[in-house]
Amino acid sequence: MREEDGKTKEGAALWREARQGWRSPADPDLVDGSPDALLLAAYLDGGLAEDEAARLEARLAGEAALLDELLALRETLQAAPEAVPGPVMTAVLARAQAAFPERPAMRVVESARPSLLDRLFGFQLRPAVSAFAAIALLLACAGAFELGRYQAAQLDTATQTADTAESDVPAEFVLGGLL
Amino acid sequence: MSFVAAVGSEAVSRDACGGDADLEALLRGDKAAWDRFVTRHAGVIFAAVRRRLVPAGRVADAEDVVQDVFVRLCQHDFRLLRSYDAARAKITTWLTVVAHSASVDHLRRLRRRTEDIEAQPEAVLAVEPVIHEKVKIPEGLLSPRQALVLELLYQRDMTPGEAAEAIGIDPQTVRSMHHKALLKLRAHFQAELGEEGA
Repeated sequence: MREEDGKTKEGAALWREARQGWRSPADPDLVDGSPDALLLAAYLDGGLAEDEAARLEARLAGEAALLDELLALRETLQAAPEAVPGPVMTAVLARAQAAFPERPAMRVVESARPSLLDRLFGFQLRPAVSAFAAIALLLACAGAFELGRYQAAQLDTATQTADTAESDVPAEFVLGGLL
Repeated sequence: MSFVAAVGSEAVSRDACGGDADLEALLRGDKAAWDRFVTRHAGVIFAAVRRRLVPAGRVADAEDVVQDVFVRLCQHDFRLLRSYDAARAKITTWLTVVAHSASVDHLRRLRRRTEDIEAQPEAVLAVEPVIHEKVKIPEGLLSPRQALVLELLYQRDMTPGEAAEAIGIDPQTVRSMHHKALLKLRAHFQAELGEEGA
């Protein structure tokens, strides 16, 4: 123990005695028994609210493993920049970039990709297709109208023939009788 | 060619970490934003992983653990990455914690795999009974920070400067807390001795 730092043997004995009874309070921030990454990171950056910091510090004072973790993290964050060999990092980057998850929506877009012909002429043909559809609809309507008119005319002719035939019967009878 | 893994939080500014807009684009599923994120932060993650694996003699596993970190970040629709809050911590600090945690998990898995449970003596496998120590100090006698200061100074044999760095406070505050905590403990134990003597 370095007494020049203001530490005393009496202080060591007092804390040795007291730490046996040090109990860390129940911590609502725990995830599976350990604090989550954001809580630790916020503590390391000095970004925790006073009550959150107090809860974490209560645990740090009583849990050697957690304190070890925090001290190791501090050391890592304060360490000098480290050179990583280029080929190693290139391999790491390639693998990590490939880890990107392909989403179902993206696959649909992929499968709906237009053919080469469509990509070359599609944008020119698109207005023509709409115009063609409109003309086809117009022709269909006109055809239906003409058909209707034709059928109506046929019906009129048939009716007139029937009327004429009906009016002719007595005459034929008369004429037949005369003839 | 070599990449520099700038781990020092002081050295990494918020702009250098990539703006929030890029992170938002990434979370929307922008592959180009993911590639930029990987390029920007792979060094920090690699360095954090290496620092944890080197003492365990597993530095050869570093690439796999870094990959595991990136997989963790993007799996389940970026659930882990979505939990990051830029208002609370720097992205480099958070990624260092995540990388550190992944390294610890990796070493634990290795230990579990290599340890042959049959070879363990009965005494090791036995669940130790939890012995509840008699509480020797009343709740609230020391603040959590005072207790942490005493733990770092006496159990970890740190100087007030080192303890201050670990907690992220001023060394003078550590000295003051140390002094006040000892006064409280001294008074408490003297009173306890007085009660026992009476």
